Amino acid sequence: MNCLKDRSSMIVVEWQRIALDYCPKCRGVWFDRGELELILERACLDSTGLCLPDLLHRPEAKTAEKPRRCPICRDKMRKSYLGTAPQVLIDICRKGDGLWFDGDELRLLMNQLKIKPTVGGAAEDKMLSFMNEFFQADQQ
Amino acid sequence: MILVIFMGTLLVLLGYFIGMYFWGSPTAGVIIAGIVWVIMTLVGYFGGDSILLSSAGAHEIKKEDNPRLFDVVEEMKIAAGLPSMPDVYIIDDSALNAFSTGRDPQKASVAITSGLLQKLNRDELEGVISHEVAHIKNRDVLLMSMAAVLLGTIITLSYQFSRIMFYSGRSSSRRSSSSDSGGAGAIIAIIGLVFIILAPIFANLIYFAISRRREYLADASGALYTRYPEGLASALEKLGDSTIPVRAATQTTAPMYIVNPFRNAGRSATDWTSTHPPISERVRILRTMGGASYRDYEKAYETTKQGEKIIPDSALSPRATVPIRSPSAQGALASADVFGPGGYPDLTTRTRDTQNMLWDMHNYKQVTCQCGTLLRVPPNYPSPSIRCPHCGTVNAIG
Repeated sequence: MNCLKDRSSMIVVEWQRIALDYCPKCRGVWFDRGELELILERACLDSTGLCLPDLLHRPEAKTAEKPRRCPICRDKMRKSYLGTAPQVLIDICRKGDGLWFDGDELRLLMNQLKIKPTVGGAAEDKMLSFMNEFFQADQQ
Repeated sequence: MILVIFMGTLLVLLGYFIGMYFWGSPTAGVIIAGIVWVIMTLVGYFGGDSILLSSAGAHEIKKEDNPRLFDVVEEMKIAAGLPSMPDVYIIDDSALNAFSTGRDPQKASVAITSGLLQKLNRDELEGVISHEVAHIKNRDVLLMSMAAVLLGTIITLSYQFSRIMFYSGRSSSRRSSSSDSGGAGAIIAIIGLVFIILAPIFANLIYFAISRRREYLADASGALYTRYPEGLASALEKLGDSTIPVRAATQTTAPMYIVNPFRNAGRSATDWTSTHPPISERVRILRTMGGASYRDYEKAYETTKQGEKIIPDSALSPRATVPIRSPSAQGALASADVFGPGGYPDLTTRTRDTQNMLWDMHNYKQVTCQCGTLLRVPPNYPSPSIRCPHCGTVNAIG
């Protein structure tokens, strides 16, 4: 798979039996549909609040950020916000093939979580904490 | 098969009317229709499976690539009594679907998407594979491709000749009406004309009816092979709930899949122009079965469809009862309350097995970092080393 942002070769990183596509150059992450299902299953299992696993159909965010193309189906993806506090801006494939996290967004997320670790039980926030731990070394 | 004979008759009639309309000789028309049909059959027969499989994006796999899938196919091959093991193919697609191909039970293939392979548990996978193997055993592929060729011939002839009619319209009708004996000739000419235009529509409807019928029969056979109709029923439910369209499917290949690959794309998925019966109905019939024999399927079918019959009498003659077996140990969903290696839900194991197999097939190199993170690098990766994003260690790519 080639990076959606800079077309460089992406690698696959497997940690805790979840495998994500990662760009070593810009540190962007592609979350494939199948892996998304796994992480949400886990996040929902130990979440205390209402579990809404459907991340693929969220309200669209209005931003000036340039739209990206899905690496699977090549169609333009939608943008949406994930999480409550902190929040990240992600790209979602309209067909549900997966999600894309920009490297900068992830770094922002990590900085925010360093200052204020999530206490909430919502599945989305659990997912973001998972991402934080997954890509720990990218916090610099 | 009566329906195929209907279609064959349509073709002959079409030839008859075309011949009569254009050359005043119905016999010539029938002969020409026959020749076109033979040519298309030969092309279809020899072109066959490899075209279909590669257009679906299927890659053949060996037993060591995915022993889980292979074991299931082998068990079903034995249960169905196939003379030899079908080739097994994987389609890299998160959509849920499967199909089988092969005009001869000895040279057949079964293909399944990676999405479906991940999603289904053992019993459900057996159900799907048994349905596909049933298509092979019942020679449905041969039947459907013959029907498809008949349909194609009818459509081609009808289309080509109606175009000729349209462009040279008046002159040919003047020709034929001058050689006919007035009123009766004109009526036959009009009937012929209408027939030429409508034949493809009727042929299509017959084709869809044949396709749907074979689906029910494959469900029945599958239930018998597995002795567990609930496996297929549960798999069909998962398939029904999924909204992902199969990327490589086309109008021609649609009947081959276990469920209509266009069911979510707005095309008619459940009525008489569909290649597959409605999933909910198929599930209901399977769940109404009191045993696993053809008689049990027939009874369930008649209950659900208010007295309609489906299974041919020859299959209904064995009177032995076939009890339904209990679900397999791997069939029941693993409990998911432990968050750690070995305690993960079964879905994770299946996802990892399937996805990792696909990366291996694409020759990704594997590097294990000291922190336990696994890095998979595509072939021809431009750098000789890779930095682990979890712990920061730079690892050399082997």
